[in-house]
Amino acid sequence: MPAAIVVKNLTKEFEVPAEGKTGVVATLLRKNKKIRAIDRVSLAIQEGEILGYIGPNGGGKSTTIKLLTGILTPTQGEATVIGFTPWKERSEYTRHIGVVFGQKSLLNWDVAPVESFRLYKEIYEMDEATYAARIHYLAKLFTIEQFMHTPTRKLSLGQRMRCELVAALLHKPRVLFLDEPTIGLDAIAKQKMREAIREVNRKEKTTIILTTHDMNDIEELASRIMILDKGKIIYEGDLDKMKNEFAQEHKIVFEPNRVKDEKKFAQFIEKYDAEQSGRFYTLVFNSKTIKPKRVLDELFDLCDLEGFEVFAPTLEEVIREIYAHQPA
Amino acid sequence: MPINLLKQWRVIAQSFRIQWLQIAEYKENFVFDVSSRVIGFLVFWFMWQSILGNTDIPGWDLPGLLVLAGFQNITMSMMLIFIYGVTKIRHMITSGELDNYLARPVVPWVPVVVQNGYFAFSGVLLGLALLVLAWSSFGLQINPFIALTILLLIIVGMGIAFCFALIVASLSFWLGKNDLFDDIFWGIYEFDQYPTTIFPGAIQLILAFTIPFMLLETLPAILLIGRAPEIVGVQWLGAGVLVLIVDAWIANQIWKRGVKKYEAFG
Ligand SMILES: Nc1ncnc2c1ncn2[C@@H]1O[C@H](COP(=O)(O)OP(=O)(O)OP(=O)(O)O)[C@@H](O)[C@H]1O
Ligand SMILES: [Mg+2]
Repeated sequence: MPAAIVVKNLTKEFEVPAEGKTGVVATLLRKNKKIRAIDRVSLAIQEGEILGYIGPNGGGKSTTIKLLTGILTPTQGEATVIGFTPWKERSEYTRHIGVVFGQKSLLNWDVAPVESFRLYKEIYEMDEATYAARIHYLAKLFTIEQFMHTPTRKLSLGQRMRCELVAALLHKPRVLFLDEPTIGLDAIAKQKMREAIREVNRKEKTTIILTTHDMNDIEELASRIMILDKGKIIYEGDLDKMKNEFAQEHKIVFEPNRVKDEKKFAQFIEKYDAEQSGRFYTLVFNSKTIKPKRVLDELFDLCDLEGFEVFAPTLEEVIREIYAHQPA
Repeated sequence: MPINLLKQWRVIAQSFRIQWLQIAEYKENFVFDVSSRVIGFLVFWFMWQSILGNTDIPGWDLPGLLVLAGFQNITMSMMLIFIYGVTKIRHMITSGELDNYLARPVVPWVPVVVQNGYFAFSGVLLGLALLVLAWSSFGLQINPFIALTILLLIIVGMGIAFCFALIVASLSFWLGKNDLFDDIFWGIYEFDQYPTTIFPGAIQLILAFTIPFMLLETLPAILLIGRAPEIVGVQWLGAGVLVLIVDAWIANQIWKRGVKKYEAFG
């Protein structure tokens, strides 16, 4: 598959006032200092792929998205998105992309979402029939028919966010940028939104960059992730591969019913350094050296169990692990 | 290009619809709107009556001032409809809201300015009413040629004022949050109170490139009361078009540079 997005050594610096004295003269003379919001970021995304773009607050995710949507001009570096340089060919390029900023509304606050949709229809030069069919499809997919004629300021956050998605998808963009689209939504709303996004991606082969702090979003939508910290990419790869690589510490909690061989059981407990609390035992092991199934087989041989549970690390924990291992 | 114009027109039409819907949400504003305009006119009227009772302003008498007041109301309302929204641009630059339109194939200020204008057509009506009143009480010099000249003068004049407003607003790309727009734009607007002919040449020159009250108000009034030959209107129109071209070029340059500098806060 051809690459939809190729980014090479993209860097964006912002000027911020250097801290120091705050007197009138001092403020006027004060030099600005430069901070690097993103630092030589390179990436490639295939057509139709969903990339999870994650990282701690201030990592540079939104800055990357603003660069790739042509809103910001970079300090250095190159980017090609479906054949365009975003900040140079804005008027032609932006016809083919859609963007949602969870933190900012794209809809006019005082009027109903449909009025904003109609404005976008004119901006994207859609004819009436195409627009009607598209709205019909999207309104159904995101279930917004009930409230799309109500002024935006009277909508709940979840309702508004679904309308934002519709506004971004109206013109059938080839690339969709989602910057925290599920922020503040409840569990069911999140689930619905993910399903709709997946459907669009599957049906229209939309390439998607998704930024989020919710690892469930990533787990359900993204096939590949990229982790950005302090402007630098610190991890890039398949979700499954990453789990294999980092999610090694497994845990088994079990409750023995009848021990067949007390002596062997004691050895087993010692070998895995299991902790006992009441009738429950907890043992922790590295899944790279011992497969969980082998541990369980051993356990079944030694005793009958009342119950047991195996814990693999959640994506949340894996990510936390990766963040934590970054040098400060 | 023709298709592009058609598209711009449609974007503007839908933006107007949104402006109207926003105003309709807050209906009582319409009443305030009309009454504040009537009060404004009365203040203007009594002020001039007392000034004229004591001194002489070369060439201006009450019928002339009534016509001038008509054009002032029309200008003021058009400013509210088409230029007031520029203030919002300045706000969007500093708050980062401009992102929304920068990520779309549209000249960002077009929908912003129209959507955030103030639906002040009542002022246009009041202005026209004053002109009709002057016409029926004192009689005016009016023919299709003069009417067309006046219409074009006002369009060109509004164009110049718009470019100037956009230039001042664009400075926010560099200066961040500031009240420069209010200080400069509405500061210059204060000159609206008087016929421009009473000011020294330097001020008239500044007004010509910023808010050309000469084109918008004074000259149309002079033409209607028949104090200058029709050809004077055409000469001013030519000069106005030149100024408009210069202002539009400057506005475009500053805007383009500003967008490169844009920092998308928030
Ligand atoms: N317009 C701006 N001016 C100055 N600094 C900025 C600007 N925008 C972003 N930054 C800085 O750049 C860095 C990256 O910010 P960015 O918004 O891209 O982070 P993020 O990964 O989206 O964070 P979050 O998860 O909190 O949304 C931060 O240190 C931020 O303070
Ligand atoms: Mg962000």
